[in-house]
Amino acid sequence: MRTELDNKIIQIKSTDNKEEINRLIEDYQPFVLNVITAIKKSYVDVDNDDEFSIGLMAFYEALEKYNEARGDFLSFARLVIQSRIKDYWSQQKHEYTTNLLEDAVIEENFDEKLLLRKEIEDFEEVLKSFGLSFEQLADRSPKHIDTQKRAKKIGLQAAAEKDLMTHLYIKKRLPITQISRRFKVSLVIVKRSKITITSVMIIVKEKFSRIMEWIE
Amino acid sequence: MIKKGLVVKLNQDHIIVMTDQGDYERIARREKADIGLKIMYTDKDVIFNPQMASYSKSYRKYLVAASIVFALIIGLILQSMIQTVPEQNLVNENNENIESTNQRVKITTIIAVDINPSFQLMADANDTVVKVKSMNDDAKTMDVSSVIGLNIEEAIEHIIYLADEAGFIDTTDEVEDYVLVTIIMADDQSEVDEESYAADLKANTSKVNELREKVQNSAIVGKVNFAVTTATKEQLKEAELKKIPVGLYVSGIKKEMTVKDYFSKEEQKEVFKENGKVIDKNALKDAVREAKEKNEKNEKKEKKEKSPNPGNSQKENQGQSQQNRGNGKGKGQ
Repeated sequence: MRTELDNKIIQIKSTDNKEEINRLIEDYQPFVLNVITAIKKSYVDVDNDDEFSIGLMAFYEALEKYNEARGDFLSFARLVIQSRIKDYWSQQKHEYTTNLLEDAVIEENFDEKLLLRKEIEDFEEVLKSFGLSFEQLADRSPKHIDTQKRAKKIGLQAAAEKDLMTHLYIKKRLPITQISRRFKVSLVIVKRSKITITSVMIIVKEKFSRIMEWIE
Repeated sequence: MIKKGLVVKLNQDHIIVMTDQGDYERIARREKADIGLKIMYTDKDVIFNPQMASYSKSYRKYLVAASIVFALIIGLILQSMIQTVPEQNLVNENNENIESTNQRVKITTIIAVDINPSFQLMADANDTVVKVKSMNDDAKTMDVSSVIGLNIEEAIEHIIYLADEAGFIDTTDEVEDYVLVTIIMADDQSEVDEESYAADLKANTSKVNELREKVQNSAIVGKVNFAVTTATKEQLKEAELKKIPVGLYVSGIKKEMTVKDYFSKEEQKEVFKENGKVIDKNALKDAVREAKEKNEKNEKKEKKEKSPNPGNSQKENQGQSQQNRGNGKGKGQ
């Protein structure tokens, strides 16, 4: 049985609407990523996202090759992606054994990773002194992307104000009312985002530059 | 949507990542997860609040232990106290009650909690709630007897939780929710009968423990604004007559108005701040304490003005005020 998506793809292909095709690829990025992580059984690395690019290309290939005879589009696309990723892996295995230059790059990345790891561990310690843990941060931080962005922004603004920072570190509590007043945001918003704001302020204060780079 | 996360914590069945927005999420654990790894993931990987797994588990253990100890101690105290008990319930404003005060719990503070619904908590000198009154029809639809035996702050939290459960708190976020807490010094005759208190407490122990856990796991308490102020017993009576929350009454409101309407206007909020404070949950405890201290100070000042000998040291003054209180009420110290 043909799904709505299958029909839509056939229709887009027949009109060769480039805009629609791009939008479709955009919409199905999470699908591509999920297919890759499922066969990889581990995560796709942000710093080494070749796999993801290959997955997207494979998805496009699937779109090109798709016709009614192929059945369900998503099953078909999954097969194409899996096969292209496997091709990439076997090709890479071959290259890695011969490319010394790449080894040196990996070495450098390795040091950087260790330093980042150390910062994260130190960060956890500082959080602990505030009675906070990553678990609490995960459970209580805002889930809406706009709220998150705003919380990050407030955190960065507040981190630049010496008195707010001092208040946070001495009382181990975020000066919510002052922040609300100073940056003209409602009390409720500050309150809801207080954990994110606190954690951003700590990252700035402790000069965790690698973590900082991540959120900037 | 594809999200990017920095792995910050590895737990047994999930990992925690920090998003590039500075937010944190629990996501499914896979092979080769390592702290410091930057990964791509989707909403499908996100584990939403697994009952606040590790955080509340340890906390619960602590809670259970604490509540058992609490129950034991209360049990012991009550056993030693319930002996001869006069039959009257809450003695509010009658002077006939001349018996010894030994079997009675003295109410030192009245806390008016207005969300709408409106309640009054009566607390003893240790800030333990010994009686609760429902002040309006909305309040009467809720069973809040379980707050008896809790400390003031905890009792307020429980009431908010229960009000939310009963649908009185607007969670659509269109209007901000305010809980108005007004601290009133009780006059000296306010007492509650020990027996009724003991009975209330006994009936409640298991209910309280269950509820306490729910309140701790509920996010609602962190979502409301608190407004804390003080009032006198006289103001309380006047406000009750006019059916206005007493905390609004002292801020100059003389006609019926709900807490929510009042705090929806910035200028009114400013007026309120002249006498009180608008704060978040974490600051509640401090604000309640401050309000109590302010009350006590005011009382002392009043006594000082009345005192024929204004040059007295504070210590003497205190003695004086106690004497004043004793006078005319048939109760010596």
